[in-house]
Amino acid sequence: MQSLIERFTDLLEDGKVSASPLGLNVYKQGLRHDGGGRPLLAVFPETKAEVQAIVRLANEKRMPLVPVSSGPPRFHGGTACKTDSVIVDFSRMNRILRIDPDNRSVMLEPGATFGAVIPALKAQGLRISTPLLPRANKSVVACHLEREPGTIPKYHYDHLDPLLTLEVVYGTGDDFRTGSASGPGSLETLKADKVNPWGPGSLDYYRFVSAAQGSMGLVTWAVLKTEVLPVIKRPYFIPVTDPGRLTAPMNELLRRRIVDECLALNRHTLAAILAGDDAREFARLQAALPPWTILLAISGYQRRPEERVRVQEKHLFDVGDRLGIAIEPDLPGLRARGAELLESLENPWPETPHWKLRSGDSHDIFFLCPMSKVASLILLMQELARDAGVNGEIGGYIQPVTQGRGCHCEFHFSGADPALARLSAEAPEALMNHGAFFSRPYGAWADLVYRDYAEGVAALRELKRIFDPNNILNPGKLCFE
Amino acid sequence: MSLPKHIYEELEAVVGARYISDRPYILAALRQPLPNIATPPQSPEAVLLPGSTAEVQAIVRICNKYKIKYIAVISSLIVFAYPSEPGTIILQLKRMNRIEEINAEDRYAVIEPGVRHGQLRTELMHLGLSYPVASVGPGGSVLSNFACASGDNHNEYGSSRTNRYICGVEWVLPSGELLRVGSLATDSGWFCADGPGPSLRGLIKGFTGQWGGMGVITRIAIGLDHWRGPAEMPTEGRSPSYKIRLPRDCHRIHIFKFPDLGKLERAMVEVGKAEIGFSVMKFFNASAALLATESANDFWDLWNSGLFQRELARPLYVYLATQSPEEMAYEEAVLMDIIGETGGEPVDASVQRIYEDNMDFYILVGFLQRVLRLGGAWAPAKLSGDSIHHMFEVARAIPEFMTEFIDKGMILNAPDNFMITPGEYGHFAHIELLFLWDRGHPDWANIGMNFMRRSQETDIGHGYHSSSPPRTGAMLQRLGPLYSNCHVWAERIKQAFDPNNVSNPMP
Repeated sequence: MQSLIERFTDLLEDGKVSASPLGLNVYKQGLRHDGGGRPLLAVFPETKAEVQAIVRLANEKRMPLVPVSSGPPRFHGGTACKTDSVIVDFSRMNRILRIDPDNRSVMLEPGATFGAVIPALKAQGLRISTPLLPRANKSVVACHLEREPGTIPKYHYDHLDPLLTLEVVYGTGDDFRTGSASGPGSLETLKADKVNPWGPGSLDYYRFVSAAQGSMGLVTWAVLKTEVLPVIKRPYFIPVTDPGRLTAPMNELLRRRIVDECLALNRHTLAAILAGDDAREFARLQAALPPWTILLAISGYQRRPEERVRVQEKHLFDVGDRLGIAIEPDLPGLRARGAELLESLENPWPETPHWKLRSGDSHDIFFLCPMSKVASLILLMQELARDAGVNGEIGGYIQPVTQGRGCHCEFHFSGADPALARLSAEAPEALMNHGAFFSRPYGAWADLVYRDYAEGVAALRELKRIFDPNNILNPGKLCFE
Repeated sequence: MSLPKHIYEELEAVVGARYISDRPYILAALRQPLPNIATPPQSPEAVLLPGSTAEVQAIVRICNKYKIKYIAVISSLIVFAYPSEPGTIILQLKRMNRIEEINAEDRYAVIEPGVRHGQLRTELMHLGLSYPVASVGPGGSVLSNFACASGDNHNEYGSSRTNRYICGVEWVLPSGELLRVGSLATDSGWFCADGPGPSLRGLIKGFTGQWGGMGVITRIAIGLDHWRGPAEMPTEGRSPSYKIRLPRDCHRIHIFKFPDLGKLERAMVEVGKAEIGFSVMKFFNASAALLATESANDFWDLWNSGLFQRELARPLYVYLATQSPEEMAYEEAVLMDIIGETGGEPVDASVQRIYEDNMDFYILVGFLQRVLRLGGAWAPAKLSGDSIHHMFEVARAIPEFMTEFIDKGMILNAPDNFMITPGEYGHFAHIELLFLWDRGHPDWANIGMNFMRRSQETDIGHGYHSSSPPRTGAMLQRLGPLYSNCHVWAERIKQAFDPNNVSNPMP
């Protein structure tokens, strides 16, 4: 152990290696599952060359590396060590390297967080796709590498959006740049704006590192899409009682590209967001809200914003009339909270603890499905919760993706009730058997999705052998040894 | 050379005698017919027409057993669809032409390789649905365009490149194993092509496709968009003299000319930031003249008149397709603001009318092969993408190498015959430079390659990302070191998944 610390200390400057037990505990914070291994030390690279040196030394020592880009708490276990490992902490590679308003892109190091990036973009009249109320210390690059969906489906053409190009250090220690960042020539002489994500050539290299939990390569920067910040935003809400009526309006509005933000929350989740850590307010809100609420926004951009809003509002109400649904300008029963909610969707979660942790430890179950399966999977989840003996309601969040051609469904629950742990363990298989697709298989979900997918596992392992032949990058994750 | 009898019989046992042939007069029709290639054409050893995924798998396994190279084809519009060396068989997939499912609610269609744009697009319009149709004409294979070739199209401004719309892939690996990626992995349906975990669909297509070099894709699902036009195209006349005009309240064409590329670039960027319009591009002018005329003589009359050189040297084509007349009024107002600020002017009314009379130009180009009509040779150069800004940088450098070819009379004098197509409301753009030359020129066999090489050298010298390295071969070896050493990774992947190098290897 001492020699390991010395080798890393020789490699990096002072202060970039830490073996302090207190410091290493940070990497376990929020993890529900013990991966089985320990963080032995943490290294804090500041340059690509340092990342490459770390990877080469790890190869020499056959020492696993676990990359970490976001601050705690960590919900999904992607950074839990399966074996004793060195943590590669990217928090010091946190620069916003370039904001390009004309090309609507931003170039970020992996440690750049939503808390830092969102205001910097706003100052330039831009915004970036954000997941639902991310914590401020969450890495923007890691979030989108892991294919987390944003709240504006119309900008989501592909599950990898808004990711464009990136630089990666593979498990061999070689560096590589994807898409139009690849070349010709060096980064210094290349004139491209690095916004074409595909290639180089006939392979989509950026897809191989997506949802890989750092097991295929360590990303040292990425270029991401940004969008024009609206001048006007109008919130609208659709109260829904029957989950069977949840997707029709979202589907219709998205296929016609009428709305920007488009998502649905059940009353448990919406109350948790609005109430913060005020338990009485949470109970009051939960009683006042309808079972589900669809949140929508109509936007006007830099040119003739009022006219755009007027036109899209007409389209919105035409759809409402056609479907026979009420579209409200405010949250049903909660006057003036609608605008506040919409405003909050543009920002990271400002408080501690995160809204998901209002009752302590958080369990999340999330998957993708087509729009047509959303209602049946919500009902199944409710049935599974009842069968597991869960008292009360669990949180629910429905996020259309890829312009409405699919849906991210998320259920979350927190507390110490053993029924919740049982639900967390048992529900995924039942959901998968009814059509839920666990496209980002964290923890035990990996066994579920890969156990009958031999041909895919074989192909993924071929790629892993190519990019990380000594299996030093976050070993034991997904279908890898 | 023909296949040994026992191998032929083994292949015949898979597809049946009716769907295999090694007759020379049939195989001769499968040689590359492209007029711009000087090398002698190579016949395949046999052609097979499999009818199912299981048959494709069986054929691929036999090919591996005997180290026979195979190329899966449909439309055969590109040189990679033809054998380049002996010992190659062709898998013509046109029998696999079923539209297996159209799911209007979840907005996807599952198709086999032989489904053509003209078949699928017309079917979808009746359901109020659409997809970005590549500029290959109605006979092009939808699957090939989405998953195997490039996928740029006239509509990518308001949609995207076709690879963005892949929702599921079923694919026979070069070894013969069947791989289903994305949500198919857990039998969850055809709606997501990525995952579980790292996305294997990255193996089939990058900026360009694998051109059959990574096995045979037998089914895909493509995502569908809302179609803002009528269920059937309102057509007057008969091909080639026909008109298609969509209702003016929600469908309008505007074409503007600009005094310089900088102002045109500015207008394109601003239109994208405003998120107006369905199709936006700077189109070719010589190719536009070919599309606008019905005979070679008509073309020369038009071209020699100078109209298209004057009006369409630096044009901005904008097709507005809206959901209501009110939205049309809004989008036109924004567009005119931008054009006023950037110094654009409407083109001559006679040019504008051509596109108003043939709005299929933006939807499903029924007469695309007119660009081949002159009977000489033509080829594209560049064919890559980055930002609008960067593509205009690339365009400004075109005269650096093109002028010499024009001055020496080697190619058609059409220095503005390039297209810049923005995608996803201007988040990226694609450039393509088409050049035409006369096969009667004494050096005709070298003109194409020389031109493309000079184009590439110019851009590399400037640090411009205007082309993407090809899949395999000497060119990849030469260019790979300039593109992050991509040749190293591409070859490792090809070797790992196609150890016998039988799936359309390229020299």
